Amino acid sequence: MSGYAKNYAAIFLLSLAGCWSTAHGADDGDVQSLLPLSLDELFATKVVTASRHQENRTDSPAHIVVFTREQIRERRYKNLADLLEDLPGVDIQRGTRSSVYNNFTFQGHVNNNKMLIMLNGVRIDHPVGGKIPVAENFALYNAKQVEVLYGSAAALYGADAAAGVINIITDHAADAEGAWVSAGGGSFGETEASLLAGVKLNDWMALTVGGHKQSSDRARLDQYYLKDFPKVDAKTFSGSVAVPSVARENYTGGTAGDSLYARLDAGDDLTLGYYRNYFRSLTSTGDRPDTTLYLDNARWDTAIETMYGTLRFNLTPNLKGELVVDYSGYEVDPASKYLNIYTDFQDNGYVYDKAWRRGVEQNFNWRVNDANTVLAGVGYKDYYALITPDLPKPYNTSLSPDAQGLAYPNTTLPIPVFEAHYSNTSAYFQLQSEWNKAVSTMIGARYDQHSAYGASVNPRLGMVWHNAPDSHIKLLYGEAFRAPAPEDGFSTFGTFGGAKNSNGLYLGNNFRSPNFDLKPETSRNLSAAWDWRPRSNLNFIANAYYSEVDNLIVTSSEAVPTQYIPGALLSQSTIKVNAGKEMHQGIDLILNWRNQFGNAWSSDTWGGYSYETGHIKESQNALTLAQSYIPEQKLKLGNTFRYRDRYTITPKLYLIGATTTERNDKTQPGERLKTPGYALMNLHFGAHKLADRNLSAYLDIYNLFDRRYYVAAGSSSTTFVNMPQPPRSAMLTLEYRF
Amino acid sequence: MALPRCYGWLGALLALMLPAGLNAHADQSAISEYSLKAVLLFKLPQFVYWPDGATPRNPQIFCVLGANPFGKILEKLAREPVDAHTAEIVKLAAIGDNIQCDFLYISRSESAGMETIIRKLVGKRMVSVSDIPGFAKAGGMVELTVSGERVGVMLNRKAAQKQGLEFNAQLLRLAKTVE
Repeated sequence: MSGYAKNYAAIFLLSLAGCWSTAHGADDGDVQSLLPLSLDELFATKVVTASRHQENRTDSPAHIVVFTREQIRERRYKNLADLLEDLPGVDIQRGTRSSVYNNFTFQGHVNNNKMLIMLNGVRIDHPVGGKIPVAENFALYNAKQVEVLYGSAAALYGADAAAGVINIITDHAADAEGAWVSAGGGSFGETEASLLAGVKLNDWMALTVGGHKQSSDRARLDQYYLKDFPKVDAKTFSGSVAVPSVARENYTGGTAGDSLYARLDAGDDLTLGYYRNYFRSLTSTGDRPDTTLYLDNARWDTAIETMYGTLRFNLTPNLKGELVVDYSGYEVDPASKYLNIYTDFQDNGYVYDKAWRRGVEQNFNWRVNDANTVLAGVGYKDYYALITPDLPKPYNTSLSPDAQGLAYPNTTLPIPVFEAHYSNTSAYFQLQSEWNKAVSTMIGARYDQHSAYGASVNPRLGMVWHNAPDSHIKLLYGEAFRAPAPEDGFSTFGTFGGAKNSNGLYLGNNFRSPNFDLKPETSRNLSAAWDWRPRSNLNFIANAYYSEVDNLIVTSSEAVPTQYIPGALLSQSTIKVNAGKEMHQGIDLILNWRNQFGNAWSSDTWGGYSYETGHIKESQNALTLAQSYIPEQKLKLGNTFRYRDRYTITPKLYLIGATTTERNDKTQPGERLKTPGYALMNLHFGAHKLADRNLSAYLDIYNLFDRRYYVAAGSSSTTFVNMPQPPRSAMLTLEYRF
Repeated sequence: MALPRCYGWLGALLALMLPAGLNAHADQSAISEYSLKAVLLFKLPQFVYWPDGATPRNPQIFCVLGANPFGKILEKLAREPVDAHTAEIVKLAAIGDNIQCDFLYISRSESAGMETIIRKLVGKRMVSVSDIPGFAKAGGMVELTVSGERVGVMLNRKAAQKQGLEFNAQLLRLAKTVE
């Protein structure tokens, strides 16, 4: 049996191991399964007649984790990064990346462009599938609930749903009457304010608006990690000193973010939504002091905005339709720039990216009979992207790409600006069948026809076995693809020294070449989950998974450099190609335990232990390497203690094992350098019903024991391998409800 | 060996599943209105504070006054302790002077006498609950409402406060209140 086949067999056997009792499913007594639901969830539960179907978490073949509004508040998930940090199977390396700030690994899938972020079912991440910052910009002030679906979901959602889907669900505007505002401040210049207000415009129509604004100077890491931030010369690759050590600046690493949100509901049939977020971080993030200048004006500013409309209608009592029209735009501020060794520490590293997507999708939900439901839909989307290489001055957005008139520094060669315009047509079908009280299945597939890279078919197959009233076994197989983002193919860089050869061609080394022929990365994912609730207040979940990714887009040296700049002779160039392959496997063990102590005290305990391994081959003949950015083991624990509804105390503990970086260990072929493991504790206090009973106060303490620790980095030869992390910080927030 | 792309067998499986699936039996577990109302009734103790921080009785007594709309649902829910509290179900035909309930559910069959019942409950330390329309406005404490396909809650805080009872902030945030 091959290695991969063994892995699949192991997961299947694991799933069977949980099936010790005779299969019998829900009967009328299944009402007990509602008891563990939160009040939010109960109020959201639709009351259905005997002919209609109600699906809950245990009926889905996918492993789904749901966070309610109360959990989001009590656990102090101020933004999506905070929430993801607590998820089993998810790794986060904060403040390690120059353009996306935080790095995420989702069950072995590195980068946040392999999972979808949605707001009420509409995609709000990068419109053409690129990487985006997921940090303080995705604040959760508007969230009624956040659902995280693990595993491939491309059969429903299309491109990029390879690792999972995050859906932020907000209140129907009619349910969000009233207003609240919060403001807070803390260590290292941290400030944050948010508000949400809802109003009924008439009996039929209601509007919710909200927003948030955050900024932080962040800790002066050079004061806490002296050895990691020595004052050294900033030298170019050629060895000339650009800034001598005596003139070096202090470290700075500030961030800022904001968002705007609006939702208009007309009855239950029409929803119009708007969401915009913005994030600013420094392009020196993650870079060593010898390779970058820590300057506040060398920053990366991105904004993403999404507008959508959803029209729901019933064609028959059993056939529902939903028409979704959406537009999403992404733009990097033209003032964004790099000022590092790649730009010779000169002010010529400006970058500009722009992209948009617009689309229409018609979805149907057909209740064929009491046992079968069909989900189906068709859609069309078109896309546009523009990407520049490093520019000597900011891109002029009022001029066309051809009229920029910019030349590579030290040459007269015009800088190429790459544009792409393409479209995708899709159709999907999914059948959910309940065979008897114990067993249900799901089978579906989605077809995508892309104007650039052709057709793609992605199936999804699942089964749920309620082997006991309190025990559910789930199996899910899915295939997915990640469409090559324009940043993969068109993101080029390189500088000229000004030298020419005898033919008058400018000589350029170490350029990144474009590749217009990239194909999608394809992935296959198999997971088995066991969801056991031995008591109404105790839930145990085991989720094992195995994934393979083919056609992985990797950076490769070009044997014959692509000569994409007329008038230049490029050598030693690199290019992105579909040459890699990776696999990851692991298991997440999850515990949720609720307790009541008398009438006054209660607690929620949650925890997740994850074991994970992964490997990557960057080409057919390359050495197999350990997957980057994953610790083999990690444990995340948290507990919310509540005294009545007056006080909450939530300690959170993270025990993260040694984590693979992206840098190879030259002493052990096939291994990566590893960042030492760490233990981290955060503590959150909440006091409510203060003043006139409408005021709440929160105190959040991060890195309670003021530990010095590092997270894995090493995405290039000029970055830290181990990125220092902030010392203890605290923040006080007041929230007032009107 | 990489996994083969299994469109062939997936197609065959789909073909097999479609007709079989479409003829599958109509067993399914829908959530009925009174199932959800029963669960909300059972979870209410988590969201009620008794006078002076008193600890609620164990078992907690849930009374149903009038025609029982829940069938056997309450008994099924009572089989297992909720947050370490057991429950006892008591069916009542009328309100007596010595009524001993922590939560009193007043059935719709008692609509005609609702106001009289509410008057009789004055001074009794219990939480009154009903799905009779207008119950909270008439002076009842917790009204279970139905709007569209969802069950909601309407609270009368003043009525509760008269008995020294308070509702939890989470419930207050999600419920509507009668002023």
